[in-house]
Amino acid sequence: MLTLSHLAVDHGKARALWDLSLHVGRGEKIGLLGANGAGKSTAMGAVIGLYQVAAGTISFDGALQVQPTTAQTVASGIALVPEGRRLFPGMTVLENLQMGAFAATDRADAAPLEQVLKLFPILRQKARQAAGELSGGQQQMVAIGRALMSSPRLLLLDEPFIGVAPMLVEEILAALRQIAIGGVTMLLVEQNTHRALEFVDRAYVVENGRTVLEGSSEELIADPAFAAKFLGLE
Amino acid sequence: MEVLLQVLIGGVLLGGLYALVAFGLSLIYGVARILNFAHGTLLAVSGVLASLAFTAWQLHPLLIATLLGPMMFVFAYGYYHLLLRPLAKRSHFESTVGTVLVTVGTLMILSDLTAKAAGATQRNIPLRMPVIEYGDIIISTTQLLILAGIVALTVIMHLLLKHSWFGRAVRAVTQDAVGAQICGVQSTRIKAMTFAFGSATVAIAAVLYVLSFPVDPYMGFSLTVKAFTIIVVGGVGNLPGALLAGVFLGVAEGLTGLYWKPEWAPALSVVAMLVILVAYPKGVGVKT
Amino acid sequence: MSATRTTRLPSKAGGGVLGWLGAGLVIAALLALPFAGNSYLLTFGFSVLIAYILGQSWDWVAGEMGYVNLGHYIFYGFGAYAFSIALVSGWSMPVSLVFALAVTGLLALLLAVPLFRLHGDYFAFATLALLPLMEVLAYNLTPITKGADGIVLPVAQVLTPAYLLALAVCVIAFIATLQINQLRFGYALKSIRNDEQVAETVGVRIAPVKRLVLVISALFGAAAGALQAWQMSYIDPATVFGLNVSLVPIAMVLFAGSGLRFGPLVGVLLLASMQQWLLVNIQGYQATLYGLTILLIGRFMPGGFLRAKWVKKVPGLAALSREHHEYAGEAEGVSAQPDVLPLPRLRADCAKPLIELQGVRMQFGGNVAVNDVSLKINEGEIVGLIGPNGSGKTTLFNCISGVYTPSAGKVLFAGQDLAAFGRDGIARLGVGRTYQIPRPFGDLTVQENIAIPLMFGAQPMSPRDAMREARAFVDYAELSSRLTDRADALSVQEKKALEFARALATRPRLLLVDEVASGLTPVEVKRFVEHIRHMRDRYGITVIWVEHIFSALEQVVDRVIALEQGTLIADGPLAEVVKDERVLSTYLGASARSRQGVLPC
Repeated sequence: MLTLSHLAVDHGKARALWDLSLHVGRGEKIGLLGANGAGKSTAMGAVIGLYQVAAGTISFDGALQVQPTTAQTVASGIALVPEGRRLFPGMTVLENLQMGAFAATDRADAAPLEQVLKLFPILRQKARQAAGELSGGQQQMVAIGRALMSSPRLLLLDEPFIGVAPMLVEEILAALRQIAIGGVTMLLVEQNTHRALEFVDRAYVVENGRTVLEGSSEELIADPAFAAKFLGLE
Repeated sequence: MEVLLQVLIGGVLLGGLYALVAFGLSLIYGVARILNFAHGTLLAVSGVLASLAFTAWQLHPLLIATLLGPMMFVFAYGYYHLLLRPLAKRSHFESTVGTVLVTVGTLMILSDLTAKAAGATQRNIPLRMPVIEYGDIIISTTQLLILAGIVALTVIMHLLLKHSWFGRAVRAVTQDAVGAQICGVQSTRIKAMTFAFGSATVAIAAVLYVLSFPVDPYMGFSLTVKAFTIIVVGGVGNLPGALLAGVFLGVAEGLTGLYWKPEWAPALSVVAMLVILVAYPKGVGVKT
Repeated sequence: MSATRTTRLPSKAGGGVLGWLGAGLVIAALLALPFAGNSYLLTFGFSVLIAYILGQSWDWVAGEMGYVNLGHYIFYGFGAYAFSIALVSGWSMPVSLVFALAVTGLLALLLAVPLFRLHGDYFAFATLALLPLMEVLAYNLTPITKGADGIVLPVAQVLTPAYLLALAVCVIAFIATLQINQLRFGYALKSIRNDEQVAETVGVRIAPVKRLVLVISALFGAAAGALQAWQMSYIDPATVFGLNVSLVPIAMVLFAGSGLRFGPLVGVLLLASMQQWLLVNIQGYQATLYGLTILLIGRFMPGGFLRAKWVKKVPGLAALSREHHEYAGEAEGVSAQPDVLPLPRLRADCAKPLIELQGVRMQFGGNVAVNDVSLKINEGEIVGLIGPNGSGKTTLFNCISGVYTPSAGKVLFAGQDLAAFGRDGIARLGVGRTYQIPRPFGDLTVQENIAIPLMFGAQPMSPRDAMREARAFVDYAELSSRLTDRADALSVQEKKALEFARALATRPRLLLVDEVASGLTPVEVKRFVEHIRHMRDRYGITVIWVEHIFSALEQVVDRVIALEQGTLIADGPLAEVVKDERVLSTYLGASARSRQGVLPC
């Protein structure tokens, strides 16, 4: 569904991503792992159209993406849950969710909203509350819900568990599993390797802006190089 | 007592108009992060044009407003695309400096051309309208019209912001530009539209303004300062806040004129803004 | 690796002998002008000089320090009025001039306090708003200022002396500009321009620097105003505070290039000439044409035309358009022995606590980022600080380095309560830090980035000495090939190395390292670990290291502190902490608790 081939992206004057290649098949859950500053968020941003591609290609559904605008990528079925959530704190939860459907004007309105509220029941309660007043975990639910409002076929999640209480992490993971069962393909950037590997089918490891490892969860855990780098003391 | 009430009424009206002008700039700043130094001059120019249209062609103020608003919208939209949008691509320093230079240059050009075309003296729309006497208080229908206009514009603005896609996009971009972008809000288009919309608001407010208060081609800049004061006090993108701050300022100016000396009134807004900025360096009621 | 290396780099301002010769000729020509007999030309020359004084003094605050003071003209107007009032009261010209300078300087000092609470757009607008305020004051304080009538000065034809005095002031202003690029003061300005907060945490006292530059800028502005008033023998509010005139010198500087050594000079010369030509030849639409020029400059060359790409190709202009970092100074210095840095070798007393947190709490509104954390770290310890993203590690660093003031609790450094110190004071006490996302002084060179902490540390150094000593740190960080490159042109990894070296240059007793090792290969990690160990072993530096890569921490730390959602959940030897129940559940989640002893990155 999504193929990144030798992707390079600049951030201002410096190059943030040098050579990233990955493939996400339909219905898969793929992890993008690596330390801070490795370039994972930049890759997500490039896919959704926030950053210009300096070299390499992005293909979605077999079609080559040529510097599309964010509006175009959202309309074509990709949505991003960004790092730091980026909600609109002064707007209500409902309005935040509605903004997610901003680009998808030709889709049925009510259905996605209902689905989101079923996934995260607490949001129904908080619908008319300002998003800025919610807890970290609840805000994350709004962020995910907002992304789902455009009925995406590919959902990009960038570090969705930062600042979320452990209990809510479990709840959100369960919701994500539901979403995946519903047929949405996922690409997850996650710092907590174990948590990521438990969730995804396959993962890529990014380091210094380059893909350095890839494999299924089992393969990676068994890989001594991976273990040494990421599993610390073993 | 009656004089006081008279002054208060005048102050409220003037303040309401200030608020509308300020709110236009507030939207522009919130969305496009542009401090348009020529913003107040737009009112001066629109006011002069309105006055000319009235005296030369006897056009009804309502008609003038209906014409000026869209005209200004189109003009501002093109202005943004031609002169301001290209600057956004540059570095932060260059885009800030460039915007200052462009808008200041515009201010100078507009003032000068208007003065050349229509003279530098003050003018307004001298509507002869009946007055309503309430005891010893005299309220002119003109003032009521202005009030009605302010209320109407405010209501329209509020509805637009709350319920239209444009309004929601404006609020979203003001509160989190990146978040808005990933929702598919097209940054350039929204910025251009907001700039045009904020400027058009000023043009319509100008028609109301000129019904009761005089304009001249060079009054723009001090008005821009007042607008900025109101934004700082009321909060960026905050309509009720702008109204409150605007009315407060208008009344304060009126009272200054009444109890002290009218020449000091223009200084008031500046002092108020400075004092408030010292207490709240990022403006009162800082949201995102 | 131990050879002494000297690199000859492009020489300083003016291009050496030719530059000084040229300058001498120009000054001679300018001095001769009064005697050429053309009073029109002299008046024009005078106005150019005044514009230059205004533009240049403005640029010290704007181009050098990054604060765009749109109200700079109030110093001009205030000085003009002060001078005029004094002269009319019967004081002699020199005394009146001194008076004007003194009161305007005082005004600047007073204004500095509220104004520098503001930043960016708000600062620009607040300063701009001062102009109409001054204008109203001038119009209405009639007993003092004579209001709209203005003040007529009892002077005869003083064009020539005014011109010569103005020329003298110009020369002083130009020399001051050159000096600013050499003195510590200038570096303080440039560091503020790049990143105020970081400047403080490397020891720069930013508040006095801001006040000083504003006052100096005001003094020159006042001199220009006084001289102008003297020459015109008349002032009124419109001529000194009107918006049209007040933004003109600023536009002149921006036209050529703010922050460039020759920017104000070139800009003033060109635009003043244009203004004069307009005045003479175009009747009527001067303001429009002027506005149009400013608009076009803003639209097409907002960095100033000297920064446009085509300028580099024109020989004469290219020399004038050099940015600060292109005037690289001498790069003499001894490159470091592999493990020798010009750092004091402290004797660490392992029993004495160096840093102690007592119930430190940091709260932002409803969000508690650091929750009653108490810990004690002795001299010479290397302590790892772990925790998931968002657990408060960086906030803790910010509390220690003074970037945040804790909402509750105490931070004691070598027994002293840090609450009594500002950020720069804490830096000078010996707390150095890196930032998770590197924050170099972007438009300064690598060498300058490291020289600045050396200049402003507890044992201050002159810029020359600091630049020399910085070489050792630069070589240690293996950035020698990037010595004179702008810091913002470095790659992420190079910036991290620079960040680390700059932290060392603050001569810290306590080093706070925030995730520097991520993205390194295992070999590089090992080398970095050696650096950390070396810092402690040889220089007695205590280290707190935030890191996710356990294999790195394991090699060198004495113990580990674990944070989770702002709360300290473990504090002890690495082997123990790693088996701690709470730590495991933080990293693994309840479902994978069975995987004992294995922690992720």
